[in-house]
Amino acid sequence: MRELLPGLLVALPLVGAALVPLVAALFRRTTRVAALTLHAAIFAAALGLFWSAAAAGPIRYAVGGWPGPWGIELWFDGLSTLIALLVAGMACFASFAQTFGPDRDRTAPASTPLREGLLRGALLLLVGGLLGIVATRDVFNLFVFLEISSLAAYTLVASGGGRSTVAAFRYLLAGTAAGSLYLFGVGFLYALTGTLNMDDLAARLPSVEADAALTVAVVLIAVGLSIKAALFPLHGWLPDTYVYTPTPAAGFIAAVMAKVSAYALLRLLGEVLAGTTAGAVVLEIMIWLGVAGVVAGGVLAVAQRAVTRMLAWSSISAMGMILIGVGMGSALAITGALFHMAAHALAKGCLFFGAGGIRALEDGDGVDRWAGLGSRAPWTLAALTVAALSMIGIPPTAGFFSKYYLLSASIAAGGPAGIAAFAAIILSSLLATVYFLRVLEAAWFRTPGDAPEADSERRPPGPVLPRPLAVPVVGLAVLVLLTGIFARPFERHVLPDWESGTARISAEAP
Amino acid sequence: MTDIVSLRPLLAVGAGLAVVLPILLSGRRPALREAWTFVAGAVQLGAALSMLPAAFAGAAHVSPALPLLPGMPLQFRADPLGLLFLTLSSVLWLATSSYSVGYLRSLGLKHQTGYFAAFAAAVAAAAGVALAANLVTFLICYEVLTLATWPLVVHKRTSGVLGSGRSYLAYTLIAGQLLLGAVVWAGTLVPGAQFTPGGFLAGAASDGVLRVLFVLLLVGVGSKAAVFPLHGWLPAAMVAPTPVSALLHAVAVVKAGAFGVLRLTGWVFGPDLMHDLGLSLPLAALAAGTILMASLRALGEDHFKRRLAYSTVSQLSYIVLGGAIGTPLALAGAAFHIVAHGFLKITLFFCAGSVYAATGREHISQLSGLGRAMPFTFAAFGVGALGMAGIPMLPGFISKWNLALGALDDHQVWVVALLVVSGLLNLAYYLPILRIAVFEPGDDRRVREPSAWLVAPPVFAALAAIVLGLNPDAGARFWFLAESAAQSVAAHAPEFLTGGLP
Repeated sequence: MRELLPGLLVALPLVGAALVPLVAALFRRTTRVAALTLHAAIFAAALGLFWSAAAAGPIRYAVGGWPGPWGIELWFDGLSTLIALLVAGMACFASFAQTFGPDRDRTAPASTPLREGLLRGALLLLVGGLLGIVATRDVFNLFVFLEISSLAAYTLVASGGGRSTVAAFRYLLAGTAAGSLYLFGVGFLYALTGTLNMDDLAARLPSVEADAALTVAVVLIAVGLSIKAALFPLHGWLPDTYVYTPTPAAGFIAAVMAKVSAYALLRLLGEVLAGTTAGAVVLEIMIWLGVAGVVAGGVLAVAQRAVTRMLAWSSISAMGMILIGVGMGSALAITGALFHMAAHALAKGCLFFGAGGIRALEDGDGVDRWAGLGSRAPWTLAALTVAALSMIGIPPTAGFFSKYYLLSASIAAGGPAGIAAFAAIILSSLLATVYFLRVLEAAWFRTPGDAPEADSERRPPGPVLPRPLAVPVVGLAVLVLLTGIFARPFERHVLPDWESGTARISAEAP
Repeated sequence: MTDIVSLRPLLAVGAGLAVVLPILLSGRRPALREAWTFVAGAVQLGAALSMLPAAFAGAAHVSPALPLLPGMPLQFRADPLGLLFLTLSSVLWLATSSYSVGYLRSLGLKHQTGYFAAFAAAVAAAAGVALAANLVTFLICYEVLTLATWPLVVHKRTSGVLGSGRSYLAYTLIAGQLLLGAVVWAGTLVPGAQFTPGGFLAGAASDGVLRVLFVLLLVGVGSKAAVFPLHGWLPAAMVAPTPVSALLHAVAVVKAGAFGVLRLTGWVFGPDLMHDLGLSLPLAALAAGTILMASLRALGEDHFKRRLAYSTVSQLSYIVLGGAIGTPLALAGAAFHIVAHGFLKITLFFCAGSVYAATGREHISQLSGLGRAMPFTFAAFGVGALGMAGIPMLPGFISKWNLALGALDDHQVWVVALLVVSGLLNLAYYLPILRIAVFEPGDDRRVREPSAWLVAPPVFAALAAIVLGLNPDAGARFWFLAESAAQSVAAHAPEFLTGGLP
């Protein structure tokens, strides 16, 4: 079974993406079940790989039996299996939420069984692309998966119709530019070293260290992936994309998409290219851009009146925080970055499912639309509250622990960058306090009558969210609570793999 | 001091937390809902009492450590200071709960389920603050306390009240983030950041870094303790229902802040290091300024509860003052003042609440004649008022006397003068209340004492205060706990020991 799992993890979603629309066209009713079963199977494969890598060490899998450096290799260590677990887990929730349909804007085309099947297929394709990025050990193959995931994401973003299509087009422009820059960078690397395999690349880089082309390659790769990771000031595509994406897809895209690109940055800059001078400089710059992003994202989130747009800006702040951790590169910082990826993915997914659903059902995205929801749907709102508190970093939610690690790492790093990061993270918590408590206060302590444009047509008391959204919201909130407290075993397993990985690469360098 | 690993500290902290969900679920059955509160209160009190004998014997119950962060476990430890605060809060929680039942029902307030749930969570968090064994555990409980109290403060839900709630959160959450930064920093300097009598930071970093750290930590705990100029939220928070204000001042939020200042000065930095860094005198001056400023402000306040609030601002700075001076007697006095102020201030707030429940009056100038109509309530109020001023035979005297002696040990004569002036100011703003209530003729003959639910708690608290004033070592032996807490700090700072305990 251990031999089969790596192939299954990447193949299942890709094959499923083709099968589910077929099922939808032929059998109609079983689409949901088929999609959910597939996602559950992918999650099980990810879980199996995680355990297996934890118990017996990292797994190297040669695709088609062609070993590296000539063939494509997949590589499953603590780090990649952790992110795979996150992606596959979030996908299960997203698939559940897809039952809600993309019909929040009245501009969305009417849902038909085939359309539903195609959207579910797109989600599977997206998952397949992301898992591929996470697993692959080949820099060109990574580009292929990057494009697969991007194309699937454009489809999902555009499925809302109306302004969603514009947002999707904008995302497409940014994503294509990012992919091209990355590809150029890989081209330079290949021309320099004649290899695409990451391990091989790391071993050969020291011999071309003096070449100026290496600097160009590193910068191209860093800029390309930073666009996808929404590193400030390359974040322009993010707010509109997150806001106009239909709710079920938004919960998934906002949760994991940028993070997988941040993971790719960590792999390439933090591990493969870490030994190069250009790589070190880029990582240093990344800390400062991260600091700028943390502050700018927070400030702009405070300025937003619409809840989903506020959530989108808060994501830019969070991505800045993750990239600060990636840039610092110490064990503490990487733990913090990984932890924040998980904490932010769970909490932001929960909030986007919730806020998107409320926006669709209450006909508005303003904070005032949240007035009185606390008494109408206490459990849902309690779940959203937990997620919001995690975003602020209140203990004992997961967000507190990730901030703790990142703050410790900043102090340990010292120097101007460390101090700036420390101050920025504290400041971002304060800003998050302002913009999240504004929403929570409305939800729990205001009545709809307080709202300026209160109208008599407000919905009668009853559930705020339909089940397809309420279940992910509550489930994710529970995970947010548990992750923080029970994360030590994960961390114990992930970090040594990372450290031995970087140590091995620096040992191979002559 | 030997440690006994046991689950009792967890029980004390968990009791309140465990009933939050049952309370929320039994919203339709008020009797059951309130039963949960009393069960949890009894369990918490039982756990606290069961840990006392060990403390008397010089040992401490400590919970198993739950690894949360590298080198930073979640752990609770019932040392004398923590146990003092825990026992106090358990006793007063039970008293406040019974008062709350009467208060909410007689006024017919809405949202009672959420009220009792948040109350239980707040008290559990205060218990966690009391027993926290290290800075991280303290921080976690401290933040939970902040949030659990928010629904209580904004109970009335009007937009003015929500504004007060915002100012409460602005002060406490900003301070909480600074505290987070400082805790991380301290944890990096000294892994574990375990509270140690006499402090653990000596020599851990340069003087400049330690001073910055001190300021961050002080802002973190001082904003809850309402130290000037971070006191603005407290009078604003008087919009909360009276039992909430009572608990806020006597046990939970404000007192947790003052407790945090003691932990900071005695267990994180230690008197020695504070003197070496030149921090003691500025902190003492800050406390002195707060005492005088708040007393003067109270003189001019006609709103009953807000006058009590300014009195709290002033009284809690005695605790800060004791922590700043740092001699054993001053620390013991400060620790005992946690208890003394707890019983006295809760009495005063209960009385203010009873007046409101019986007559709907909120201003001191409207109290005329009520002393005769509500004799029990105002008798209790008299005890509380005189105790605050530090009249002998009441517990406020014991804390102030020891504070003064402790200050003299450190040759700080001005503190004695300050205590005298502050005592006079206390009389100046409390006695007029009694004068108006007792000697001015009333206009409404129909006013009667409210229900027994509302009369019994203040009378109980006042009687307890009298007992503590006559024998501070009665019952739970609060004085012994305060003294051994102070001694443990002094024992680790031998060269600083300028005065012995009697």
